[in-house]
Amino acid sequence: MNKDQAKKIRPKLIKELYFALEQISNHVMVTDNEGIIEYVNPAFERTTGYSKKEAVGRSPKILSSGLQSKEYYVSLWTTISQGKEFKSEVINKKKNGDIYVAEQIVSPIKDVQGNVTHFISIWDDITEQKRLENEIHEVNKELEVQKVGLEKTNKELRSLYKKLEKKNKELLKLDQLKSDFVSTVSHELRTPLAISTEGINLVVDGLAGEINEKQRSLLVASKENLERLSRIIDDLLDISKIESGKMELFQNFTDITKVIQEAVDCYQRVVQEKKIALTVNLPENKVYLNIDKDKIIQVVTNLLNNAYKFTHEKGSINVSLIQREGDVLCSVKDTGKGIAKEDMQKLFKKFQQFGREDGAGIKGTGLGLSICKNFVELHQGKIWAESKLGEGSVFFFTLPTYEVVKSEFDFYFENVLKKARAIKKPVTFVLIFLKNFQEIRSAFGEDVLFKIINIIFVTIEQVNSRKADKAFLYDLNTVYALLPETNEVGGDAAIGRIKEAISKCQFNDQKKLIEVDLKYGSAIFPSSAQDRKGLISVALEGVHKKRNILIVDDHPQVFDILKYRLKDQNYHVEPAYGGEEALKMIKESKPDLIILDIMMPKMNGYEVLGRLKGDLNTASIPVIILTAKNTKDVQRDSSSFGAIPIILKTGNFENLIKVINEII
Amino acid sequence: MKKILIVDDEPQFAEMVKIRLEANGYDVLLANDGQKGVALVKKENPDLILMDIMMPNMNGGDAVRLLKADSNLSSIPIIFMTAVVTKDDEKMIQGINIEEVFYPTIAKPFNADELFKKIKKAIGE
Repeated sequence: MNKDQAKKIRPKLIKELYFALEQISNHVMVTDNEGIIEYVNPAFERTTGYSKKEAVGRSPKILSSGLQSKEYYVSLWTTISQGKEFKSEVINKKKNGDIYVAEQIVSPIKDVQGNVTHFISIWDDITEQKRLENEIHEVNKELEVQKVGLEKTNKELRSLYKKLEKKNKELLKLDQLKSDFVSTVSHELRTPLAISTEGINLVVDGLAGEINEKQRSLLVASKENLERLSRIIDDLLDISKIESGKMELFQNFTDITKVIQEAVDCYQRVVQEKKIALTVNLPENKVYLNIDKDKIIQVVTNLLNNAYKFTHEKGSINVSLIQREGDVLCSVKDTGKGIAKEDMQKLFKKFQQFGREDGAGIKGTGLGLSICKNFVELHQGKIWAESKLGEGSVFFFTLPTYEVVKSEFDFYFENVLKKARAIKKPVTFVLIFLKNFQEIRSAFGEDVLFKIINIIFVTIEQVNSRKADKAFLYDLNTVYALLPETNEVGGDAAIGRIKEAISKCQFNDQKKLIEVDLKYGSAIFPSSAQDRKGLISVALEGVHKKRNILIVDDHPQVFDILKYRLKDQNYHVEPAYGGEEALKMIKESKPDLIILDIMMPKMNGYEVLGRLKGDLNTASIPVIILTAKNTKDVQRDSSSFGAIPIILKTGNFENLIKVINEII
Repeated sequence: MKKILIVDDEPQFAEMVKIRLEANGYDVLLANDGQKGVALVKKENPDLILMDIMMPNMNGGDAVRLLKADSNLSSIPIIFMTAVVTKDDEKMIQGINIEEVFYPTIAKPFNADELFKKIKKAIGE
């Protein structure tokens, strides 16, 4: 403040400034230049608890909390004695001993000459703010701790995940080991058994010199027990496979009557020993089921074993099969001693054996019925027994008929469509029809027909690369393939793959080649039809319709010759006399096959081919090149469009017809 | 006399089959793995091979593939003979198209009649 300014200060202003100091919420303290308090405002009084009277004349040390370092005071005095302002946070003590935190500014007050006459200290009580800050700090610290904790947890989780992954791998390996173990054990146990059995056989058969009756009967007993041991091993391996969920069915379209007859025929030799009459009642017609033949033979043989074991000499065993609505019922009935009521529930449990004292003949392992139950249930069938003590027992099992399997497929088909509707994706349905099935049946018999349709079915199933794709043997002349999320282009490609795979199959019966005439039909959901029946009928139309062949050649005679050549075939042929005309026609109605000349005016065959293959809508239409040019050149020039069959115009047309029939 | 080669890594078993075959008038040779078997086929040109599947050095499947790839040897009939057909065996002979495959298993005890029937059919007697 300079002199002039000082002079100008009016008493009114001084009064106003005084009031301001008295009312301001900051506490204000004025000391002389030696630090003795001259003035404190009411805010100071309120906060510190010292009244004006108590404070004035004393040193600010009354506020010292003892928590401030010596350096603080040194720094304070050095700064203010140099005439500079000192700003800091300070921890003070109230009169009552409470501590408070304040932000303080200490400024020297100079007179007109510039000498420091007083100091003014202004404090702001920031205890609350400090408390909040502290709280925030604490929370932050807590959060930091939590963060570290979370990171640690995260890390632990990651390592746990890694451990789990490792464990999973180990488990998978263990699973593999278990499978390998079963496979190894079966090999390792059976090899010595095979050697021992064969050794005994050699001696019994007299190939190692003469033996007497007593020696023979001892060896036969040994042999029988080795056979029994091998049965036990087989049963244990089966149980081990069942329990590890590794028992698989190799199902096939099979005539169950033949399977049962086979099992019974094999057993006739056994029952002779006890002079038991083993009879069989089967339907006259063949009954085709989707079964694993070996497993069903095992079931029947096991039931026969049980029946035989408990049937007295000159008793009887009857095996019968009846067709019912939805399933077939097979029964094995004996005139044995029967099963006690209390044993009935335990019948199909593992290691249960009943009536052992009576166990003449083939000894069991107590596993047979448990295995039977599993095999029947794997086929979606049921197994049970009825018995009367002293009269005999009947064991029943059922197997679903093919109609049931079919209806399961229909159900599956509906579900695929339902899902496709929901996710708005297309489904391709392909129907493969064996057109000459009747000819095959009459020439080679039903068994051969079933063999052929089975091969076709298995081949289609192998072609399906995605798990969602399913093939289904629907009838003795029809295979269905259902390809979810597949559009027309994908469907055409799939049909192409199926045709290619089937063309590699050889069908023969006793070395006689059998021609199979397969027709393909397809339908797309939702563009061709909205429901299962619609799709099937669209696909069936495709199977039976006449195929269109477009013949592209600038020489009308070529069309005439081909039309004449193809007149006996079930084709509809149309001509196009130039490349442009051909493309226009193809666009209008997609032919099933294009026979294409190369040398044509205006637009040659390569250009037509390029445009066809470049358009997704026409790329899948099969093409045969019919040319007078050197085939090697054509082959080279057309190879970029894929493997396209090339027929020489000068060659024989028989070959062309053969290629056409193969493609369509 | 027709010559039959038995390729089997179980010498006792091979010896027993040899006794049976010799008793029925066959000339019998033995080899105890696929590799030796193939070498012996080249040297002796047998009329028939009885081939085990699971063997050290070279398994039966690989031996058969080798033989079938050699135009001089591919016409020799081969019968697979093993105590048991496991999944591993199946893998080893996958894709092999053999006219006659014979598996004596211990579950169906080694049946000599069946063996001779298969042999006779294979060598066209």
